Amino acid sequence: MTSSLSPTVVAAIDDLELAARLVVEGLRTGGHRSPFHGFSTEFRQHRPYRLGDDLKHLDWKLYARTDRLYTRQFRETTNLSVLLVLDRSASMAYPESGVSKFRYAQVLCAALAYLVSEQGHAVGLMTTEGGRLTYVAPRGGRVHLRSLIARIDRLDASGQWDGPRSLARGAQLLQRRGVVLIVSDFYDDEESMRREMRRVAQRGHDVAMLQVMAAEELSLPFREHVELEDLETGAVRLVDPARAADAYQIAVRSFLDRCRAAALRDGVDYSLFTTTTPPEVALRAYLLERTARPPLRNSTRMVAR
Amino acid sequence: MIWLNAWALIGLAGVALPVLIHLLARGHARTHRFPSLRFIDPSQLLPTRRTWIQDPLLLAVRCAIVTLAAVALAQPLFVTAKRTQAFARGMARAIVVDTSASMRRLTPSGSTARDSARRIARMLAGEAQASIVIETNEPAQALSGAVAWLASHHQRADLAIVSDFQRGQLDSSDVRAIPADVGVTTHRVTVVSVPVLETQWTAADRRIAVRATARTNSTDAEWVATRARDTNATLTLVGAENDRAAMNATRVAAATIAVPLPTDTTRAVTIVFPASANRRALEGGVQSAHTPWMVQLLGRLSARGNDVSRSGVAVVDGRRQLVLFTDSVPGSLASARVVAAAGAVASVAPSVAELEPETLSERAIESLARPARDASRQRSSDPNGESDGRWLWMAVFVLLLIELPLRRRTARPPLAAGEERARAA
Repeated sequence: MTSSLSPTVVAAIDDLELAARLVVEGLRTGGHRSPFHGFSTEFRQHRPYRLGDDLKHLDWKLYARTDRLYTRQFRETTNLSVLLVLDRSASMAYPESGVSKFRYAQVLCAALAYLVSEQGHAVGLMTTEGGRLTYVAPRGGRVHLRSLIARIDRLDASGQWDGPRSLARGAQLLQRRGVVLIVSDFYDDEESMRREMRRVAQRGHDVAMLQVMAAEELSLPFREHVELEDLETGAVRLVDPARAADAYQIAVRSFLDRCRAAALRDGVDYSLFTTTTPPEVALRAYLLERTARPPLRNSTRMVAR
Repeated sequence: MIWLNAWALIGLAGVALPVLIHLLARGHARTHRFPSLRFIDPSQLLPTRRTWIQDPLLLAVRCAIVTLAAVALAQPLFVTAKRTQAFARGMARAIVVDTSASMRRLTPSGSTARDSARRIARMLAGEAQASIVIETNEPAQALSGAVAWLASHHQRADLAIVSDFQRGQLDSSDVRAIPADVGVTTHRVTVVSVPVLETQWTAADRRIAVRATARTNSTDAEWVATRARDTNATLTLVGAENDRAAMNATRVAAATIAVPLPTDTTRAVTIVFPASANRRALEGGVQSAHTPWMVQLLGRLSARGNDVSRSGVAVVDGRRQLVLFTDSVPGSLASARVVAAAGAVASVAPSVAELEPETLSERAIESLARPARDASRQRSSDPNGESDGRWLWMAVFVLLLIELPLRRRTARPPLAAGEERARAA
């Protein structure tokens, strides 16, 4: 039995690749199979049904028209494209002391990239740099992985993030259907983001919301009157925590519930990560949940490997 | 307990400051960067004044600091028996007791003023480590001897004067002659003022007894005096040689104005006429008159308009006596009045001035008293000069040390549960 790596320890490792490797090593302790299954939408041909063929591959429409049994054959997907959409808005820089949400998200992205790449899949990145969208096309290979992790490591949290636009552009640039993992606190325009996720999911992508929250922002951890400055907008408000704490907690809980319900409704994976949970523990829980769930309704076929 | 600086107790009003600041001040808002303000209800943004005590312990400590500091500034001194004894042990005291005729009057308690003065003297003597009691009819003359005795004791010096403070007996010039390092205290003996209705005096042999009858009772007074053979023994007329006959005529004329009485040899008067050859030399050597009988005589002469241009005390024929310089010509009626007045005062008869003396006002008596100017000498002999405020300052210092962690505890926001776990890890 291995002990979990503390978030502070993982965040303290300067080499993000090493941190990702540690997280993934901890992740593999259970020896479970890969949670990312390839699937294909590329139809190849029909062939007459033979005894022993899986009945689920029968083309019943063709049978209705021709009164003959044909089995549909697809091209088997040998490589899965995973796109990491990373939110690097200023709100992700919280808390400023200890493990920030952004550092936690960096470790998550690096660990996922490492895991995906180790399994022979392609991994890419969509984020913003200097207000412009930055896209790293999904590719496999160790060289690409190291380059990608180094790129993630160079990023920092500042400014604002146009989540819907990043997501739409990333899904558009994916040449075939893939897995889109959005790592964010989802503080942007809720409705726009939800609409875009739904659209991307309807286009056949496997979309997952990985919501990262700091433990300190789940409640107002202050006793005296404080002046709170919004990390993204710079707006300042005087707050009496004794009076505002209850309403704040209710509002945050309501927000998280809305995110979860919308994801469930739109066929999007959802998982909440708090910065106090060891990354490999949270990641393992998420991947186990993902492995156990039935195929998403927009996945046309799953091909056994 | 006494306060060496009682005005500093006004600082106790400062105790209200921490309470008022705590309740009236708006909350101290420190700036924190926060990921999003979207979940904060705008109706609960503005901090309000505190209407309750948030940290009673911290407030109590701060109030105690202000209170103790104010009390310490007031310099409290706990007067213990040990401290009182130690204070008195370092003092030498000379007590001058007035025993003049005016001190034979009665006090409200029924005893004579002289007995009361002696009781006060005993009490004062008991308070000092070394003391001497000097009884005298003329306190002003005894001061120099008292100062000399005090100078022989290298201790904190105090000169106490116990008297009814009859006018002319003691004045500010006498006190100014006392060295500055000697403190002077005055103790007045209160007497009952009774108007004299009748006086009787009897002279037997060379001792004179006087009885004065007052309105409500009678007072027996006795002047211890030596009876002169005649008035000439105490009254001297000085003039030109060719005025001798006129001066004898003046003396005879004076006897017709006032009944000649036996005179006191201690009361010598010299009257100098204008033509006297020694007049200029005598005028240059006179000093101011200060004994009661001299003051009484001069007052009487002035009231009657007698022609005396100058007066004073001078040594004539080897005796210290009152010298009157008159501008009246010997043989004139004016000169006879001067001689008669001088003879009356010099007589041994009980003077009204002694039985109904004029006394100094309370304010004048208080002005005679003064502390010793040499503070260093007083401090060196007083081991208890420091107040007990230093212990309070130490308490203030300890409370400040306690206040610091209390203030930090209040100012520090609580750690989030996760951060605590992280720190533990």
